[in-house]
Amino acid sequence: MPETHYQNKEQFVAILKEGNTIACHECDLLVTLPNLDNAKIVKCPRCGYVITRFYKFALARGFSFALAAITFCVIANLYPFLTVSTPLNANTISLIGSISVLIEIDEYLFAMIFLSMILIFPLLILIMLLYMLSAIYFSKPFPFLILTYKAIFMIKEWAMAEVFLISTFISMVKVLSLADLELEIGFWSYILFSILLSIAINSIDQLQSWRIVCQLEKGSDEVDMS
Amino acid sequence: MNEHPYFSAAIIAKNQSIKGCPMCSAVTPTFEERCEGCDSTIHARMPKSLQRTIALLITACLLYIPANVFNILSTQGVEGSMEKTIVGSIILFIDQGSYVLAMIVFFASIVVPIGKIAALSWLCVCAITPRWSQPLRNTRLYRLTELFGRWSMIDVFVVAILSSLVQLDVLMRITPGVAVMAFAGVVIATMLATMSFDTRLIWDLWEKKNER
Repeated sequence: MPETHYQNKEQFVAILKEGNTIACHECDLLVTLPNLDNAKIVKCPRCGYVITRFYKFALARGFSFALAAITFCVIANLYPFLTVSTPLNANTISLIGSISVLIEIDEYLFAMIFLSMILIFPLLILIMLLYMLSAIYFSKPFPFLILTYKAIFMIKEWAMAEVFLISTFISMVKVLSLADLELEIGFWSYILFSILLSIAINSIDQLQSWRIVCQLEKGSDEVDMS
Repeated sequence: MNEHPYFSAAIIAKNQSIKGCPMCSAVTPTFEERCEGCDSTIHARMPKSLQRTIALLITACLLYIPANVFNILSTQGVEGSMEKTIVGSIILFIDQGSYVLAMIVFFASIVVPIGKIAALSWLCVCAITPRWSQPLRNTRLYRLTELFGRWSMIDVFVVAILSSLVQLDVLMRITPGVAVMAFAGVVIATMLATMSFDTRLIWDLWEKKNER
């Protein structure tokens, strides 16, 4: 058995109960969180895993950027995306239109993956983020709050708006050798959407938002009891 | 206490018969099935982590073959039709003189997938071979894999955009080839493999090695 600093079992249990000790996600070291008032970033001392990170006005920032991102997402869908024109004809497509073209040429699975990664998952994350943050803002336990919290951090990895952005640049260069290309409002709003989205997602810290969500839920239990 | 980067007597959650939740970071006794904080089912170590990772890696390897052999997009134009594989499209970029794009596509669709498969296999080997156990370096390698994994989707998206943009009736048409789905499969399989790999195994082995 390895030596432990917690020889006294009661003391050990008391430390755990405080809720200030967590097991590092990547190396399983028990880390007692330091006083978090002045900390900017808390890392696991052994493997360097970022346990929690503090941003100024994290909640307000997350909320406002998520709201802005949703607005631009709507605009990106309402307005045309790109126009390809040759001397003979011109072809204007919207974001949804590009997916329906894929469906027309019988690439259903491809269209589905494409649609969900560039539009559905990012949009879902934003909506759930707004839902969670507004629950925190009004400090009311909205229904399905914990489920929302879990879903956000599960889908996070599969939203690839910024990857899509880089691939549009590449395909633009490729198309430019074949035809003329005109960037429309939809395209510019998608750029803003993907930038705002990544700022919004990255300003929300998992551990801290969980703490707040948990507090809200517990608060509701007490109200129910009385 | 922390003179050495890895403590001499590190307190590992598993040895204290508690486990941490990956979702909410709460600690729960090992005998409890569900997390005390968020009620999700958690395990001290991901069950069958290595098996799952290796299975997904083999899937990715197998899918990488059709992804490179078959054409990723076909162009039908006035001058006849043309089909290109991934490597073919990179060569075309070089011929056209757009070296930056060639580099991006080369990294996204060749270096990243192969690097990812190699890195994860190396991590799997390291998680069972005490001699090569270098936990800090391997954890960093894992983080790198996690970070770059999604970017190999670039090629798939490029094909999607091109084939939806260039549908100029008689003049020119671009349609996605078989390889696109295979390549998307490679990316998704490697991403799942990364998620199912448990870095704590690397540290466990290192602990075990030090005890001896």
